[in-house]
Amino acid sequence: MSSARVVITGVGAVSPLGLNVEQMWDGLCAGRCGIGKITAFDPVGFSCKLAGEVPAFRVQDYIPKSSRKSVKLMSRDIELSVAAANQAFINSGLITKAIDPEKVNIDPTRIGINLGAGLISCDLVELAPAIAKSVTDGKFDIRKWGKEGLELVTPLWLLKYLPNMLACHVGIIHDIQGPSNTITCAEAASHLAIIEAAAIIERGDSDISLAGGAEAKVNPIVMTRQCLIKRATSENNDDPASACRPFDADAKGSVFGEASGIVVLESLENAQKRNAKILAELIGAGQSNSINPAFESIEPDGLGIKIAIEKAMAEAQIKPEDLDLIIPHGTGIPADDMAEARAIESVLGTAAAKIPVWPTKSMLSNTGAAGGALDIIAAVCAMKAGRIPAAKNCFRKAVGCNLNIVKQPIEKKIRYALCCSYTYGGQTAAIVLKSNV
Amino acid sequence: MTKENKEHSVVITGMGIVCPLGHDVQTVWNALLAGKSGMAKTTIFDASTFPTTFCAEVKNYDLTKYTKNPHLHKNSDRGSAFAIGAAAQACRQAKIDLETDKPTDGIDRTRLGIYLGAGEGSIDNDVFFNSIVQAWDNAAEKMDWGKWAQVAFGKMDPMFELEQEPNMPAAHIALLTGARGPTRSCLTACAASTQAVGEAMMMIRRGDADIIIAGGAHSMIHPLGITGFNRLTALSTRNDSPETASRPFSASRDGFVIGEGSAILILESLASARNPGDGDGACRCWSWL
Repeated sequence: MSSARVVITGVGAVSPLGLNVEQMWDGLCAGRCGIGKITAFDPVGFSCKLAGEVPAFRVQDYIPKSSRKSVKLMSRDIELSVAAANQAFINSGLITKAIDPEKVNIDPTRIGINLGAGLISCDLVELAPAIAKSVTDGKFDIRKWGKEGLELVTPLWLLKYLPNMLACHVGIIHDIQGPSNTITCAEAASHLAIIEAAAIIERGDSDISLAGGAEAKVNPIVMTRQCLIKRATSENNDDPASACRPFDADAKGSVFGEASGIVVLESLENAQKRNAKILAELIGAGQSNSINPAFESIEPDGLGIKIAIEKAMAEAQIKPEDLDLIIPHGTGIPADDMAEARAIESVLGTAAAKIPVWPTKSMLSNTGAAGGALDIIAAVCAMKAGRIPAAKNCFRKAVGCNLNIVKQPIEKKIRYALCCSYTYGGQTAAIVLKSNV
Repeated sequence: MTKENKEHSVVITGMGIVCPLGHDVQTVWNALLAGKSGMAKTTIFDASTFPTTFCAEVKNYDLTKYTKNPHLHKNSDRGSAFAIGAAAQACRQAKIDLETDKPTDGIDRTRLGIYLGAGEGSIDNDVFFNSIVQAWDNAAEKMDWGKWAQVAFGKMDPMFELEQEPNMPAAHIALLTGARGPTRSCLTACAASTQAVGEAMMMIRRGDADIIIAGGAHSMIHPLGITGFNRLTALSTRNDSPETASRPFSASRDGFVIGEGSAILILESLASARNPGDGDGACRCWSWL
């Protein structure tokens, strides 16, 4: 079997901390919080009124004029992915048809795409007029809907909401003709998509892959769901910056948001051939399951997370003390944070109390299928800068958590970084990166 | 997909199916041989006024035939429920122990993975539509979010809401089998389960797992699903003849007929399938990938 080494040669991010990777990194270094009161809809009556919203942007700025008609078919999730994908390609130095049709420097059949995507909830306001026409005696009447309401729904409506349409739009815009897949494992999705893309390059089925994820969780249905299963915090609604507190004794739950994080993965050989700047190498990956009949929570001992980390470390062939940075999933949900802390501590042993642990969701919010990719990008930025910013909102560690949550910014060379993710429903993933600096 | 190196061979050692033609492989195969059709008038919801009034439903499905612990799966969506049934059949055939903390099948759970092509669950239609009816101000063309939240928070069932997430069928199979190996769900519409099986095979070849429970599960037979496909004019509207409506490659075809179900394969490395526990050491495989 071919076993190419896989490196990261480009990064793109659209997050609550800004419209590109530089703004995100500057925000993380400054300890800025991207969480605020929800503006996408009026959250009156919601137990959590907070979210991480991406600043206003025009998706048209990220696509060539020839593709602009497709904008009408883009849900917010798709828009986010299109913006981040464009940045990732530009950052990598790869020139696709969309970036400059005259100067294309890649073979479209050798580029793949693997994106993590969420369950895209429909826009209630878009459907409301049709539903309002389908009422008898004050109640929804499905027979009226079938006859009249349905006709009012725009013909291509469904195409906005299929999760694979992110990879579809990005693929068409940039002329990606290699393997394409969409991973729908909620908060673990973009790590799993990156792991799959790397395996595809490793075995020689593509040379380059766009991998990561996007999700727009600031939707009334998504938010209601997270409130109802009590993963969203119901406190600190008046103090958004302090609301999400991973591993802190006063943590009360997560805050959800929207983002896209996309990286360009490439075989080392291909990257060297074209003299690309190599940002980091993927040297280990692990995947497993948390098994808990209470599907909304991680099993208390964190076994599924532990197995994923063990496998990633074994594949990376490094010792715990080689790690200079851990970016945990760290949602701010007390029981889940504790399960993750136990998992990290049990794999890394005594080293766990020393390695800097830097949760990012207190600033970036919990962006579902985008989160894992944002963390990979944050780790790449930290390696490049030789700097680990301070964690936010963890002033007093939760009892029983012995992790070394970063209190003050650390200036140091980061040789290896570990990123972890897990999701409600149970899928877990861990990735080890090696610095190329 | 021939491989010179047999070390990397991947074989199928178990199969399970829940679909409109039946709830086990033999029944479905016999029905296919007999040319039977699974299409009929839609009964899951009242589709009588939709452009398409028929589909292929799974009928008389009984989840309790496949699990000792139906209470752990009681909120499952149709897709998840079908996945549990198909996975249980496939695992039994492949001799993978189910629903036990102490399996005696000799399989290392960290080497047992799951890869499903699976879709989202059906929304709670009554709450969904009526929350909008109550909160929409037609004159102002605006949603009263306070009113909407009142209905939604009052009526939505938290666990039922969670079950709509597309990674939940895999979560149910993990609970059923104790699988701790690599687990993924992909959702690439009609290509999803083929991609899942293909990538699962590659994961075994790479050495990430010895066995993967792979396949797919989905149901889009719900008002918004049918609305979406009807608006795309993708569905057959041969309402007077459901049984002859699906006619791929025919000159008179007029769209597809939507169905639902789950099909699961057990993929194993050849080395795993030659488990000496089988007695004569013979490979218990059905087919090679």
